[in-house]
Formats: sequence, structure tokens, C-alpha cells
Amino acid sequence: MTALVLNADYGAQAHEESGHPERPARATAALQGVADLHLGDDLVVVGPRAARREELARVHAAGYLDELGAFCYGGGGDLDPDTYATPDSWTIAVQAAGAGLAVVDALGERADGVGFVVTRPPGHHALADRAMGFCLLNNIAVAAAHLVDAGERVAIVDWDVHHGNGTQAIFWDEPRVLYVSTHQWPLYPGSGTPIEVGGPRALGRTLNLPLPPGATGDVVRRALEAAAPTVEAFEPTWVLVSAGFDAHRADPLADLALSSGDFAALAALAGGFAPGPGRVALFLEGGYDLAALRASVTASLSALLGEPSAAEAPTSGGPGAEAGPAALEQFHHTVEALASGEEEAT
Amino acid sequence: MTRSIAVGFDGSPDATRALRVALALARDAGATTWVLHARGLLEERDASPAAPAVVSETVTELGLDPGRVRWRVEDGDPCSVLLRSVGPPVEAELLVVGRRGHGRHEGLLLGSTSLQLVEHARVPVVVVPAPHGE
Repeated sequence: MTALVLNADYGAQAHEESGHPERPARATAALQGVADLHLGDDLVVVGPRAARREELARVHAAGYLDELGAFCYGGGGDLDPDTYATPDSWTIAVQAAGAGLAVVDALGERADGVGFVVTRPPGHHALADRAMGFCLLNNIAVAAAHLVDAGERVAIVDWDVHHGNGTQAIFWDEPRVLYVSTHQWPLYPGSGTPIEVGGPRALGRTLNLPLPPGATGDVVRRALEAAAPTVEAFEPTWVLVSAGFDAHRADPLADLALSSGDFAALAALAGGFAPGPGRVALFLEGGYDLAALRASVTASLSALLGEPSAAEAPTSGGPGAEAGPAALEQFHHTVEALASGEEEAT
Repeated sequence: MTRSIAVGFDGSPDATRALRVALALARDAGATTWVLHARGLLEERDASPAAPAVVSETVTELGLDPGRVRWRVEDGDPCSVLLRSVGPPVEAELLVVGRRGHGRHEGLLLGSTSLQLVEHARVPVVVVPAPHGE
């Protein structure tokens, strides 16, 4: 099977701040992880393109887009204690958002392959009108909205160690998008509890599976397996993955305990939700240990492509074995309670 | 009657000014003050920093009952943490935040916790400006 990889080459432009963990070397490490698969002709590099304003405006407020551009062109600076922008960041962020569009369009035309969108800055914390958590534009949301606009039903699986609050908020009341997240909790950004289940038009379209610090791969797998009936009942026509690799045990920003081999299992699970070939794409989110990022990318793609890889052994035995199923039960109770409340109100 | 006031506090001079205003308002209203520190992505996760001395010093200076002032560390960005504080356990009925001094991005919603709060909060917001000239 073919891998369609977008290698966003930013040339001399820079989205970088001295000492910040969200740095250009991350993209290099992810691409090295792809190269380690030695795919030969099965690797297709998709050329990047800038997202058009109307494509960004599906998920971002017009005023925010104007201000972010002006802020960057005006010299940039800190947008919050975690998030920076440089004079080049607007151009780069628009390319990053366009990268996802280019990959899903290429997959759609081929009706084959697996997409991997190697871009930065990451996107899943970015809200409709606010940058946060290293994220400026919500890349996966821009791609999902593009697909929804074309009549598709999109399941977003977010296995980044942090909850994707921005993606959740953007699709909170959108019944054609299902958002499923496994993440460490408590942890930044503080959202992502099982009682967050979606808005009135989309009850049950948000499923959060928070896991305790120290959770190992078996715990995360069990949580995602527990979510499978919900995803299957949604009948997605596309699966997009917020593929952060900061749940790896070597990552400096969080405390889950996964190995690269665990990401292979997660990728296989997520890929299994797709209705057929050419309908799954991974978007790079977090992952700040370069060696772990590289190995985890290799493992994830190898699982999706059916290629062998020498990933680390899967991990098991960490805390929170029941956390996923318990969260799912709480999710169902909340959806039922809210649905019956809605019925009483009408 | 306001029973719960939340103030964002990051240790900066702007936040300290906001803290003083929040505590004075709470004293006059007989309210509980929640001093909220937003723990970002880049902060140590194991450390739950204790309230800085300036908090207890200001409480004493203004003659407040220390039992009515609560220090709380919350994961998130400053804006989200304050917006969430309208829910349990804080249930803030008034938010207080300091505004940064005059900068080259003044007036932009972007990057300004105070302007974002005013835009999104469901309860009244008090924005404490920097003194003229800062």
C-alpha cells in the first residue's frame, strides 16, 4: 500500500523560538521516521499548498484570521505563556493547514493509500478564535470541515497525550464529525472529561477517554477498543488521526508510558475504523522527544501499511486498566441524561 | 450578592494589581476569593506551586479572613482557566484579570487574556489596567 506523505518544506522561513520544544527538528525526525520504512516507489510525496481563506474560515473566525496574520506580519511574539508566533508563522501555519487538504484530496483521488501530514505548528489546541498550546490554526479541523463540506462523515481519533480541546470545541455541535480522544488527565489543557459529550445537535459525537499518569499501552488500547462500537455506529466515511507521539514514555511534556510499539497497535485500531483504503490520514500533533517521535512514526505507518518494523515491544501493567471502559460508561450515562432532558424540554 | 470572585494570578505585576482589586472587592462583598494559577504546557507537572508570599501579604494588608481566600492551580491557558472557573468548584460570579501594559499589540484581541475574557465570559469581568506610563 502507498503512503502519501506531505513534506512541508518551508525553505528559509522559520517558525521557531529558542529553547521551545515545538521546533523544526520535530518535522525532520518525523520524516526520518518515514524514511526508515524504505518504502521506495510506495512513498508518494504530496506537494504542499496554502489553505485558502474560505477553507480556513470553515473553522476559524474571520476576525481571528485577520488578527493572527497581522500579529505575525507585525513581528510576532507570545500569544500565551506557551504559544509563540514569528514573522513567518502566518505563512507557515497556512501551509500547515493546506497540507492536510492536499493529502486528503490526493487520497480521495487515488482511493488508496495512507496519508501522513508532517506539518508544524500542530493544531488540535487551536480554537476557532484563539491560538493556544503551541497551535495557531487547527489543521485537522480544517481538513475535516473540508471533507464534511463534500458530504463525508469524519471520525477524528486523537491519541495525542493532551486533550484536543480546540478540535472538540470546533465540532462540538456538528453531527457529521465524531471526536474521540484518549489523553492523560489531569493535564493541560484541563478539558476532556467523559461528561463532555457534544452539543444539542451532536449529543454523543464527542467521546473523551481520560487516562491516569503512568498508563501503559494496554490501557490506551483498551480505551480505544472500548470506543470501537461508538465509532462503528457512527459509520465514518473518513478517519483522521491527531497523531501526537507525546504519550511515549520518553516524552518530556507528559507522563504516559507508551512505547513505539504501542503506537503501532493504536494505528492499527484507528485504521480499522476506516471504511476502506485511501480513507485514513495521520496528522502530526505533539511529540517532543526526537528519537521517540521518529520510532513511533515508523511504527504507526508500518502498522497502517502492513509493513514490518522493529518497534519497541508494547507496554502493559500501568495504572488505569478500567479507566477507558469507566469513561465510556459515564459518556453513555451523560448522553442518555441529556437526551432525555432534551425530550422533556420539547 | 457576589459570593465567589476568581482572579488570575501568574506572579506578574499586572496580576498582583488584579489580586489587590479582587481581594478588596471580595472584602466589601463578603465573598470568597479564588486565586487561580494557570499551569501551562511548559510548566513542571509534578509541582503544584504554593501560593506566593505576596498573596498572604496582601490578604493581611487588606484585613481579610485568610479562610476566605483560596489558592488553586489549574491546567490550561489563563483565559480557559478563568472561563472554566464559573463552574464548580469555584463557581465564580465575577472574574478579575490584569491587563498588560501598553505594547505594540495593544487593541488586538489576540494574545490578550483580558480582551478574550470580556469577549467570552458569562459573568462580569473586571479588567485592571496598568498604571499610566507602564
